[in-house]
Amino acid sequence: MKGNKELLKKQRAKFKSAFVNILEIPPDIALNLPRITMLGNLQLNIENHKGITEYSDSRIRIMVTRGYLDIGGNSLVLRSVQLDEIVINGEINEIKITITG
Amino acid sequence: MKKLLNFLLGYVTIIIKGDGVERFINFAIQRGIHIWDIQWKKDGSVQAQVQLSYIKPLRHVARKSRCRFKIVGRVGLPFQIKFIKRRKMLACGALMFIAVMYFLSSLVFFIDVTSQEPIKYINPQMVKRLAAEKGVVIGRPKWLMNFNETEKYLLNNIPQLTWVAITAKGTKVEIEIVEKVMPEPGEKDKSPGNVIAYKDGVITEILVMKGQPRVSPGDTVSKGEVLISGLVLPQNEVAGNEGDSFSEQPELVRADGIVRAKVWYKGYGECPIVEKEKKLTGKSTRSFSLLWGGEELINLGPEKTPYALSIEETQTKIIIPGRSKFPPVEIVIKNYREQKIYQKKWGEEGAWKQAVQNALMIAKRQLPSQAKIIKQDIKSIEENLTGIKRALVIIETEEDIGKFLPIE
Repeated sequence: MKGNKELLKKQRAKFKSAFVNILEIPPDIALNLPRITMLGNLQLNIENHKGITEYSDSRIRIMVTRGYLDIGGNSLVLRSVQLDEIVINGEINEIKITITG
Repeated sequence: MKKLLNFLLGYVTIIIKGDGVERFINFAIQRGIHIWDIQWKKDGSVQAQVQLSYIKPLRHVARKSRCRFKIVGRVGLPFQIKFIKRRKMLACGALMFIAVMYFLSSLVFFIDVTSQEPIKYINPQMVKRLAAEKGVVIGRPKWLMNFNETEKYLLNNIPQLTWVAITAKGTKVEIEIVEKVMPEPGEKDKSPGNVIAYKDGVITEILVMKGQPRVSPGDTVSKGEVLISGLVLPQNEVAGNEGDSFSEQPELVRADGIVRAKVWYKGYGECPIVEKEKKLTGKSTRSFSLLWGGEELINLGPEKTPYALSIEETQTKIIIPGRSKFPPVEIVIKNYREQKIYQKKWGEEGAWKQAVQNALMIAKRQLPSQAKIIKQDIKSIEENLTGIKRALVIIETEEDIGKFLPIE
């Protein structure tokens, strides 16, 4: 039953992306994906996030639709936290994006 | 812009302690509370900044996320207003200071009488005294002074004055005057006199309006020689008429006429091929010192010139005039202006041109305005001085050399 639901979810996502391709809708809006902008290794802008689950000096995890973002670095500072946008300053070494479906 | 708004509304720095700091931040976001500059501290707490008006809702957030937060810093206008409210006298003092400064800057501390040309007939002290009668006095605020009226008053009361302008420059009032150009005494009267030469020259033309000519064209005259005599000898005597030759006495008249003569002027100029020149660089340093009875009380700025080569200008102003047992207080302003040696390479031809120009300038400086230049000779002086060009200019002019001199 659970496997069936998962399958359905995957199929729906596939259908959605195909639909977006045909109609040429900007994918970030249609698929509700985060928009990530980096300025060298100094600044990181994340729009369309779903909250912070982990925050420390060297590691930040930010929830996004159907996944999460791992940011590693030194002396990370949350420059600004708003409902739709997060700005991270500091020395950013790595970003790992995990999005399923 | 946002920073300015934050400052106007006021913001606080908080330190959040507890396990679920992330949760705290998430709850805050969901409530629409804007948090910025979230930073880890070394002791495990988190520092953040938040707007003043969001502190109350943040308490609910803290309770929900089981965190505690503490306000550690306050920035912004609301806090400053609060501070001032607590210390009213300080604010009062600051306001008083500004008001007093403003008031003092509107007072007049100095009155100067200036003129483009040197003042000959007018006594500046008198100008000051007359201005004082109309209220332009040291120690009076500027807004009480009527400069236009004072100008009129000065013009009416000093007959030697052509034009006067009173301007205020900061705390200094400047009375700028222009004197009337008085005619030279004795020019208008009818007393008898001769026309004499005031220069050496060779006469080319003589036109007598009154009197008797003593020279004729072609004569060489020297300075001081009588050209047209005011002593008119009877004509008949010359004609050889008998009879009334003794009845007519020599007549004294005021001689008048135009005597044109050739006059030569010399001008010498030189110019080194490589010129070393001291020039001001534009840099300057000032030093102020307050003197009281010859002793220095306060000294601001350097006492000696900080430059290798400089001009020093010293200005002394007496602020409080001395009394019998109280020596005067004066300010000495020294202005050091930096100089540098510049080398200018003229070149052979350039140096020659410059030398000629200098010579011409010197020669022409002696020329009166009515002189007409007839000839110009330029000679080069060759001497065994190397590296320098020398020029001699001789200008020949034709001009009026007559000058009236009364007979004693």
